[in-house]
Amino acid sequence: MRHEVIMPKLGMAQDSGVILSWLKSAGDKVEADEILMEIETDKATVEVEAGASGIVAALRAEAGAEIAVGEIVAFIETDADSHAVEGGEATGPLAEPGGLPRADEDAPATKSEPRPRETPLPPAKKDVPHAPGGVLASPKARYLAKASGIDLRRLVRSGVPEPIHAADVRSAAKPTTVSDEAVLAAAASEAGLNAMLELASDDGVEIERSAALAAFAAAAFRSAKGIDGIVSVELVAVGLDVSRRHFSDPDRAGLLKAAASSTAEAASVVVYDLTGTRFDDYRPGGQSGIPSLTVSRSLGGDALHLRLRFTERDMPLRSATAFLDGFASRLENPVRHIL
Amino acid sequence: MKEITFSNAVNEAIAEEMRRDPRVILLGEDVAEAGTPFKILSGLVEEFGTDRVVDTPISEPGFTGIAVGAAMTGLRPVVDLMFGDFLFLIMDQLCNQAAKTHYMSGGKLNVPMVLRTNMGATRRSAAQHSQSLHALVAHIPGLKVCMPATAYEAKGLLKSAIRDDNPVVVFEDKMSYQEKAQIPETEHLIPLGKACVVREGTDITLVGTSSMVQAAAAAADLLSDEGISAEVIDPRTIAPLDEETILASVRKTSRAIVIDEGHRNCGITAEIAARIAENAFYYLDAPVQRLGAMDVPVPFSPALEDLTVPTPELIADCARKAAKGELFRAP
Repeated sequence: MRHEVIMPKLGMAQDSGVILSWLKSAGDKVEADEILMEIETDKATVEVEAGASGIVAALRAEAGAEIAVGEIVAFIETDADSHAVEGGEATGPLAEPGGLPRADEDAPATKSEPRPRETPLPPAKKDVPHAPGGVLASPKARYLAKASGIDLRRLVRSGVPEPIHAADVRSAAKPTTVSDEAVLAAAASEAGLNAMLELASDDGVEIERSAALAAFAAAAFRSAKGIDGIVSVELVAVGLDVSRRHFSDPDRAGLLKAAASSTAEAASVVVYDLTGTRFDDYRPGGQSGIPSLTVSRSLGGDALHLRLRFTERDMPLRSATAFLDGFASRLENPVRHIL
Repeated sequence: MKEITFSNAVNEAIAEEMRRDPRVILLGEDVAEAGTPFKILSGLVEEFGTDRVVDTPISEPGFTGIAVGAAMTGLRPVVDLMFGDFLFLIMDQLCNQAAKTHYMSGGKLNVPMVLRTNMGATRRSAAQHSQSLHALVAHIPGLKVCMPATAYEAKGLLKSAIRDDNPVVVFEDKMSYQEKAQIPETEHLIPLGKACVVREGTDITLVGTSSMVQAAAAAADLLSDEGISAEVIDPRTIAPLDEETILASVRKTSRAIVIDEGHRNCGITAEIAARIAENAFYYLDAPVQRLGAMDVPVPFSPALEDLTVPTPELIADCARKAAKGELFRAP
């Protein structure tokens, strides 16, 4: 069970409190009567007990933040004892039995990756993946990237190891010619995806289809290329209207939370969704070197056609097959994705 | 062209300049009959006599001071300082007097003297006779500093130094005296402040001074077997420093290693690396690396002494890392 720690109301006129300090970090063991945080209201400074024994799953605000009364400031995983691994990292259950994420799931993703102990999560959804200076690159690589309009973060997301050197930028800047472009195609049944969406809908949970596609693409791409950092998916719905949406780490956010972000950040992979249309294939003019995946529906059947366009320079065939296969099997069996 | 040793090139340069200009005199310890412990100056006293080739008492501050005065009053002395390590004894004569006289006399006095001395380890001469102290004098405005790498440069630079109206210090690597090179039979002068490209390359610039030019060239040979093309630059003089030749090379190759036999800490390598970082920053694809003598007194033990000096293998190893884009961490 997950115990929610809220900002307490300590006075009649109090509507918020300031967190002065956290006495525990994410991953720490805590007893119900142990002090978890120190808060300050307009009247007093008070030590607040954890209220439940277990492992601190997440701190949702940093020290110094002013939080409205009743807001959740931390989660304590009460049955974490049984999940605790050596070193104290918590492993929380991700979803209810049945494979669907909990509708009230509000915490940041708690997949089974070990979580660093010391970093309290930043308040709310402040998504700062890579600051502009966050990419490790040589001065010359930066200079060339700027001159040729290449986003170094895109290179990192496409799996170029840091530090990035001039040669990496030059190779990315080299226009992709038709002959450089490789195409890998597959068919996949969308029955699994449809069943999942329906099942969720029956339970009153609306999972957005695009968000699911973006999450599948991100997860398959991450595992195919072994990327730890941010994977960003640009989802382009090509129809009579064209809409472009960016998803940052949709696979990690959980299907319900995978929301499009407004910032047009560099995409790791672009998905062209033609499923709502009669269109069969689309390849944009010009070339970006970013792998693109076109998803279209065949006439009458429930099979989806998948076409992956990539350059073997940036994505060796082995990664491409792993990516496309991973995406297809997530479509066919979404449980695999959720697990 | 003819082939002569570094030592003979020095001797020829002095002899030619003494013949050309009667104001040129030579003084120092054991410069006359003995011709210095390295036998570099043999034969000069026979040709020019003891008025112009003067054996002095063992007092470095004394004879350096005499030379500064002689230069101020019209002669063009060439001083022989037996070991570079003895620079510590003459710092006032050189750095406070010779370097500043022109400036402080409002331009009325010149000090056209040359101080020849040596540098370099691996002669098994222990900590007080093995240092490379050129960075000490290059630090002082008013002094020019030459670092010839070959017999060709030794002769050309020394003749230019003797003709220069400013105090010039020439550092000769004591391990290079028997090295041979081709030099012109005709008048041969190398301008002070002009570097040379010893070997052209495209992948990395190796800036070497004095005998480290040869070490860099040997490293370039090793690297070329692996398909890495190294450019070797010899600044020839470190004061003035020909920044443009170095920068042009680094702008081309995007990578640089600076190699010098002075101690790495506060060495001339730091100065050159800093100028590269300041003026070619956006061209750099790898951190500029410095290789110098280890920051310890030079050991007497031959096995240990050899470890303190950069070798072609070490240079090649660092160049390889830079060319491959390995994350570099300075030792």
